Parts: sequence; structure tokens; C-alpha cells
Amino acid sequence: MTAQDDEQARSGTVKGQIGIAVIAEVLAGVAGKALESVIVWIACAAVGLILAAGWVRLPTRRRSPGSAAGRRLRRLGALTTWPALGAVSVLAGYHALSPISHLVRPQPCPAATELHAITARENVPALRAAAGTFVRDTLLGGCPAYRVWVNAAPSLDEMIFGFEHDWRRSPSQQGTEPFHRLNGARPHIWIPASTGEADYLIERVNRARARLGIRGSIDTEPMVLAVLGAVAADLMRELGQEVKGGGHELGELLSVARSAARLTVVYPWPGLSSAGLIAAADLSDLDPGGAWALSGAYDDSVSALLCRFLELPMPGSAGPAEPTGRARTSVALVVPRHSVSDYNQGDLGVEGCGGDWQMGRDALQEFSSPGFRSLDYPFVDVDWTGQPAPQLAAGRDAFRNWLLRHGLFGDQVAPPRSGKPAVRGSAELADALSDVKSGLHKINLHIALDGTGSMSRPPNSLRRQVRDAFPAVRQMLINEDVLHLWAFSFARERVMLTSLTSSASRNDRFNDLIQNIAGRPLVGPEVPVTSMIRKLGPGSRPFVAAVVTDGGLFDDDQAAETARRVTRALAETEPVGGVYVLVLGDGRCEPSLTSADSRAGHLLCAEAGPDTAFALRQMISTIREWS
Amino acid sequence: MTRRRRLRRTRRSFLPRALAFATGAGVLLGWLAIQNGSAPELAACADRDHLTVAVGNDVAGGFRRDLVAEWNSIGTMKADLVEISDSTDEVRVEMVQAAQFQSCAYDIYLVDVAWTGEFAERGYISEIPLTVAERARFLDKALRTGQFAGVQYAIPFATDAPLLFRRSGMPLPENPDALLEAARRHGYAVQLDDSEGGSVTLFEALFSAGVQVTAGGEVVLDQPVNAQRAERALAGWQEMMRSGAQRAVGSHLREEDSIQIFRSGAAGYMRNWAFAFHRLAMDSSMRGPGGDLLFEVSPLPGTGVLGGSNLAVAANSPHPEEARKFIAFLTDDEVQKKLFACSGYTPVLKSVYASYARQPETCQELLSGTLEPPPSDGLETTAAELQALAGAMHAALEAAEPRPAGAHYSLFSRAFRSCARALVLSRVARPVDFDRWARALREAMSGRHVGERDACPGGPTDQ
Repeated sequence: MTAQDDEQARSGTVKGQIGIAVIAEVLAGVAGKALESVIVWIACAAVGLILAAGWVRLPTRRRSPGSAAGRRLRRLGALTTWPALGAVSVLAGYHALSPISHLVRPQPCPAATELHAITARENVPALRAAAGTFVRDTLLGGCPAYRVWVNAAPSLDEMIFGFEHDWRRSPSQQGTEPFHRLNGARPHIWIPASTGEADYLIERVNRARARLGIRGSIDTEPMVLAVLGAVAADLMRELGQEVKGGGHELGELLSVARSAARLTVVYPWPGLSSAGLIAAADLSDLDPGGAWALSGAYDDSVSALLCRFLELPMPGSAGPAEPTGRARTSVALVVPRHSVSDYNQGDLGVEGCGGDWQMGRDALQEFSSPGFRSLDYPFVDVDWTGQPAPQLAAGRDAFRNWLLRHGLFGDQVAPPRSGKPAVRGSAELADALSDVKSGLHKINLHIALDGTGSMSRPPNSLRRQVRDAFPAVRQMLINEDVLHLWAFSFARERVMLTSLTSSASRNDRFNDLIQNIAGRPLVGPEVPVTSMIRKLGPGSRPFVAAVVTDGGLFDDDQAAETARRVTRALAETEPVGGVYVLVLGDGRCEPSLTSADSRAGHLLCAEAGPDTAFALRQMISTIREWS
Repeated sequence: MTRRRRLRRTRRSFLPRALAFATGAGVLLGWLAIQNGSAPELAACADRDHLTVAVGNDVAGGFRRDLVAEWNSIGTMKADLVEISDSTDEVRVEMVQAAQFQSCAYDIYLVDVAWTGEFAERGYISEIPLTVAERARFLDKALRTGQFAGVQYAIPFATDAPLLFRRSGMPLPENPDALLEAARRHGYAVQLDDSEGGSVTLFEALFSAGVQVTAGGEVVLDQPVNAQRAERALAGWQEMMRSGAQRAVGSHLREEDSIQIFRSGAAGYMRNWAFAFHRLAMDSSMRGPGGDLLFEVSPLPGTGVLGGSNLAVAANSPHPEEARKFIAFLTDDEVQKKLFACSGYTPVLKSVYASYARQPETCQELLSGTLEPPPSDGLETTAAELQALAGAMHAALEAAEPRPAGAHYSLFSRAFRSCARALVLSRVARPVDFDRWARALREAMSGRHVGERDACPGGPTDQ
């Protein structure tokens, strides 16, 4: 028997013991209720008998005369007995009649205890389904005792900040403006992907406004490599025999995928997704130098990665513009096993995703390896300072015990095979993140903000939108990255260049840069991109320019010539290594800037759409590839 | 002892005993009534030097922040907005948990009109007494959304009613049937996602057909007249959703997706709230060469559902007086005008509609003279456009009805939607078991758990 088998057996025993405890608890509750009913019914029957027997001979004047004190006592008795009897009759009647009235018309249910759980986005559908069944299993007289809300967890960095700052989003200070933003509703339950991830966070939370406690694993599953069915056969042909216990050696699997099948292996960005971090740890074991680092996509979850994968074009088909220019058949994904199952059922739990999914054509096939570590999904209690609520703790315990008995994924996911390595520890995850970052190209980015009034116009100030979304960029940065923020405008026939923040980095002046994004609007017409590039140009170090605009700078008669003019400006302005134009709000890219030729020449225009944070992450990732 | 004397003596002893018995019974009955009728009292919170206001993220931009900054420059106690989330579920759960677990995190809640009854019944919010003159300032329908059991628990901050947007040149449908016919031909961006927006659309479909889902707090959907009308209405919607034009639009839209679809031209019509007007009006692609809007707006044919949000004071706030002053500031005439012109919130005051009918003002005009006036470089919603919008909104509000109120509205809404949506999106015509559906709605209304399969056989899976 292996250590894992031992561990599973122990886990099974613990689950069994907890199950017995829960059943005993429920039985005790039921017995208590039953006893209470019996007592009330006996009382009802007794009072009913007394009343039915007619006039009761209670203390009156004609009984023994006795002393004055005795007489006063008897008078008091006479005064209190009848009101007491009246009250008892009402109580008995109330209890006796309420079951009947409940039959005639159900009484409203009392407020259920509401619990809030967070987990990685790819686990949200499974946890919501489990919560729904838990609520149904714990009904009391048809009334829900609990309601469990499940939402996506923020990134590890955001959670660390949130647990230290009353769940506020970073940066906690919004300049002088009188508002704070939360990371959503405060959670009382967190289901991370692994115990190592929970430890990683707990070790880094100082000055905690919340106390976190790991309370056992509710399910386990491995990571897998997934490719489109059409590619799987080629991969299978190139791979050798499976190892004992199933799967292929990780090194062989990845090497064949990359070299023979020419696949790009991708996983969600490790700074934003715990599954991505665990994938990075597995890959960095094979290549400590960090050559795999660029495989980290800019998606913040496995669901987002799979959703974007689904939007990639098939070879030969016209697909949406994608900065990487990849086709779906050229990508292999490192994801948790249950996500492949969700994807193959067309259910990624992401709004607006998977609408065009087709069985067969789009199905993924998984390849397992003993080199992939397990995810063990621990249940973490979150207790916020100043919220001592016994009913919350009781509800959370009940949900945890239910999950320990039923698991998170039900029968969807096969249990990990024996002999699997244990989950990644916190130190390994920290090392992996460090490895990934050390393998990235550093960027020197000049953000040219369209400072004209149209970017600040109510009701939807685009500069405020960028300011609110910009914290999502921090997790995409490494310490060596340098950012500069500029605003452009026209004044007195000249292009005016205003430095808002210079030389900010991930750990220095980043919050200042965020505050300055939504500064006072400038006046005057839009500045053409070419003028911006020429104005930014003089400088000693090569850099990439990111132009953030609402599209107004394309509103001239020569818009169709923009690409040609910008390409010429790029060639003439040596330090500028590329231009990425990000169009916000309802604005549109000038078509000539979205062509493959433009992309090859490090000139690209992208429309942000409704998710500005995603658009900014995509921008940083693309610029890093250019750098 | 004669019989007469015995009778007199019995009467003499019976009366005080009966009186005593009745007194005891009466006292206990009174106590039981108070216990059943009153919400549990929350413990008061420790003092703090500012007001905290729990709100959802602002889909209409960040103008609310500017108003709070303005209050902080003139008010006696500073206020701090806490923006919880984009998701209404998360906003509600944060507020409920703060109240349920007595975290003292908030003094003021900005609650959806659909939650006001729940918050009041559970004792999470306290009464806000209004004078007759104060009541008279508000639109009656909006004010009623803040009442529960005849008591004013919340003050309307913004109201809302659905509008019909149509691309210029499209005919104006005069009634709900004509709208479905137009939708079959030109596509209709309407919210039918499995969310509260979907419930609202489906309530509107039934209300517009003269269906009463509830009456006097009781479910009456299974009454023959309502069942017949509902069956006909849902069949009409199902047919519309199966039309070629509508299949291209899709059936999983929310408010934001609807704007994108309408803007792209894939749908000739759109049902949406007032904020969509500002979004489209600020989009240069929705204006012609002369600056005219390429769309028109009118009240939704039929009966719309009343939306909006109310301001309420947390029951355990240590500063209820200051909180009420802050609420009074946000419902001031000038502030409500600015919210309408600059941020797309629909006003709750009669005076604002009267003012816009008489002499409309743009955001630029309203904010001139403030510390940070908005830019005036071109695209702005004009006074005439705002006047037309205010007129359409006023008419839409007149025709709008509230959703069924109650402490368990969210369960009720889900039970209603799970069945109605399954029927409308079904590929084949299906018989409707109205008895079963109504039974499920009654259970949900009393807070009982209803599996979605139980509400509507063959419906979506229970989550």
C-alpha cells in the first residue's frame, strides 16, 4: 500500500466518522423536536381535559379561614390562578391549532442562514451544483435552513490584500475620492485548488482582518494535457508506451507535443490562476531555466482560457482577430481534469461563452501523466473580525461535512490513480512563480493616454473604466518592468505631451500611476497616432508604445491610411519597437490596423469590449512577446 | 340556599374569574402578536465618524462618486461609498450577511426595489418617516416600492421602466402582438437569460397579456382566465423566438449584450432600461452625419415592470439621523436632475419631469460652475434628446407594474422564470401544467425550496 493509499484510507475513515457525527446530530435534533411536541401535546390535552371537565373548584372564600397572611396568600392565589389558566389555554390552543393552520396554509419560512463561498472560476459550476443539492438535503419542513452563494475568487495577490484590508480591492486608497471597491461579497468559505495554495496565502497575510483555517480536502483530481480530438491521434502515434499505472512521462508528453505535433503548450497565467500556478510548477520541474514561462497565457482562469481556446479559428477558417494568430489545432492546454469534462459537455459556466460549441468537432481529449501533481481542494473557513455569528459557523460546518461525504465533482471525475505524487507545497508554488517570472522578457512600456474630453465624458468615463481595471495589470508584471504614463492633446497648433507618471514599476509608484489615469481631462481635438509616436520617440532605451483611446483618433478623412502612416512613423522613430492601440468603450479599430501584416510589424489595434481588465492583460501579454 | 341565591352567587364568582381568565389570555395573545409581527431587533453598532453606503458597481459610470464628494463638502458627516460588485447576487448577499451577522459594516443600503420587502420584513432596515409634503414630491409608484406593510422603509433613489428602442425607419409597434410580429421580422434584442432580467421580461410578457400572476399576496396564475391568457402569451413568445430573425439574435442576452446586438444592427428592436439611451446616444456610430440619432425610443407596448433602487437606513446604524439627511441630499431636485442628465438614472421626483417638459437642461449646463465640469468637445446628449427621453420614461412609468413583493422574492422569481423560460425557449409547443406551476410558486412565495424540475416538468436542471 502506498502513502497515498494510506492517506486516502485515513481520509475515508475521517469522512465516515464525520458522517456518523452529522447523522447523530440530525437525529438528536429530530428527537428534541419530537420530545418538545409530545410535551406540548400533553399540556394541551391536560388543559383541554380541565376545561372540558367544566367548572374547576379553585380557592375561594369559603375554604379554611386561617390567619390573615394565609388569607392574603389565598386571595393572591385566586387573583393569579385564573389569568395563568387563561394564558396556558392560549398557549395550548396556539400549539394545538398551528399544525392545522400549517396544513390549510403553509406558514412563511424563516430567513435562511446565507453563506458565501468562493473558488476558482472553473470550479464555480461544480460548487454551485453541490451547494444546490446541500440546500435540498438540509430542508427543514420544506424550508431551506441555508442558502449558499458561490462566486469566483479573485487572484491570490488580490485575496492577500483583501484579507488584510477588509476585503477591499487594491489599491485601497482611491486618491481623494470617497469610495472603496470590494472584491465582491465577503466570503466565509474558500475552496482553493490545493492545500499548498491555501498555505501560500495564509503565510503571506499579515495584519489579517480575517482568520483562515484549513479544514480538510473535499475532492482530488490531477492536472492533464488536453488537445483537440483531431490532434490527439497524431500525438498518440508519436508517444511511446504508457508508464506503469497509466499515462506518459511528463517530459516525453510535452516534448512530443511541442516538437513532433508542433503544439504550443499553454496554461492560465500563474499570477492570476492557481491551476495555472500549479501547471507552471509542474512544467518548471522539467525546465528550471524558465523556457516554459511564455506558455502562461493572460487568462485569469481555466474557464477563460478554454473559452478563448473555443474562439480560436480552426485552420483555414476565418476566425476573430487574435493577437497570437494561433489556430485551435496548434494549442495544447494544461488544465484540471474536470475542466476537460465540463468543456466537452459545452458547459464552461462563463457568460457568453461556448455558444458555438459542437460535439465532436470541438471535443478535447486528455493525456495524463504521473508528472502532473494533484489538486486536493481543501475547505477553508474564513472568519472576519467583528462577525461572531454562531449560526454562520453551524451552517458552514454542515456544508463542509456534506462536501466531505459527497465530494465536489460527484462522479464526474475519476479518482486519481494510485502512486500519484502529492500536491504541491507552498514553497514549490512560490518557486514556480519566481521561475516563471524570471523567464519573462522585461518590458519598457510608454502608455499614451488619449487625454481629450471624450475619454472623460459622463455617463461612462472611459478613463475611470481604465483606472478601475488597471489593478489587474499588476499581476502580469515582473519587478523589472517599467511603465510610463503620458497624456496627449492639441493646444495652440502643437501636440502637447504631459507626463502623468514616469518610471513606475510593479512595486513602486504603481498606485500613483493608477490614480493619474483618471486625472483632469485635457482640451482640444484628438492627436493622431503618428504624432504621438514622433513625440514619444526621442529617448535612450527601446520601448513599446500603448495608445489607449476611445477611437477618436481614427475619426479623420485619412483613417484608412493610418496603418501605412504609423508603420512609416515606426520605422523613422527608432526607439519605438511597436505600437499597440487599445480602443475602449464603443469605439472601433481602423481596419488596416488589425491585419496580420500589421501584427507582424508590431503594430496592432484591439477593441477592449466590455471587459477592460481582460483587454489590458491581453495588451501586456502581447507587448511582452514583442519585447 | 335557594336556587336564585345560588345562581346569584355563581354569577358573582364567575364574572371576576372570567375577567381574570380573559386578561391572562389577552396578555399572551398580545405578546404572541407582537412576536409574530415584529422583526428581530438588531443590536446597535458602535459609533463611527462617517457614514458607509453599500452599493453595487455603477453601470451608468462613476457619477455617484462625484455626488458623494459634493455631499462631503457640505454635509455634517462625511460619507464613503462601498462598491461591492457588478453582480446583483453578490451585492445582495453582502448586504444580507452584514445585517444577518450584525457586522455593522454599513449605515445605508442602496437596495434593488425587489429586495425592499425582504429587508423590511427581516428587520434589516428601519422606518423612514416622511411628512405629507415630502411624500408628495415623489412619483407615487416609485414611493410605494419603498413601503412594506404600510410603512415607509426606503426612499426611491432611481426608478426605472422598460423602453422600446427601434432603429430609425422601423415601424412603431402599437401593442404587444404587433411588437412580436415586428420582432419576428426584424429581430428583438430582449433579455431572456437565466437571471433576474429574464424574469422581468417574462413578467412583462404575461402582464401585457392581462395575466395576473399574484393578487393580494396570493398566487392566482392557475385561475382559468389567467391560465388561458398566459398560455396564449407564452405560445406567442415561443413562436417569435423560433423565427429566423430571432434565432440570429439569440436567447441568452442580458442588458449589456442587448446593447451590443442592437448597435450592430442584428436586431431592429431592443427592450432595455433608460441607461441604454445614454450609452447609445454617446456612440458616434449611432448618429447620422448631421448628428441625429439613428434610433428612436418609446414606452414598451403593453405593461412594463417597475425597476430601480431605494435608499434604506440599516437598522443598527449608529447615525440614523445623519443617514436620513444624506438620503435627503441624494433625492434633492437638483441632484436628481444631474443624475438623469449626466448618468442616465431615471428620476423619482415629479418636479424633474415637469422641469424637463418645460425647460430641459443638459449635463453640461447643470454642472457648469462646479469644480469639475464635463468636457464640451462635441458628443453630448442634447436638451431635446433628454426631453424626449424624460417624456418616454414618464409614460413608461405610468404603465409599469411592480413585481410580486415578499420576503422570498428571489425564490419566487426563480420558480417563475424556470418554467416560463423553458416554455418560451422550447423548440416544440408544450402543454402547460398551471396547477403544478402555481403550486410551486406558492411554495416559493412562502420561502420553501422548489426544485426547478418540480416547478416545470422538463425544465432546466435544478442548480
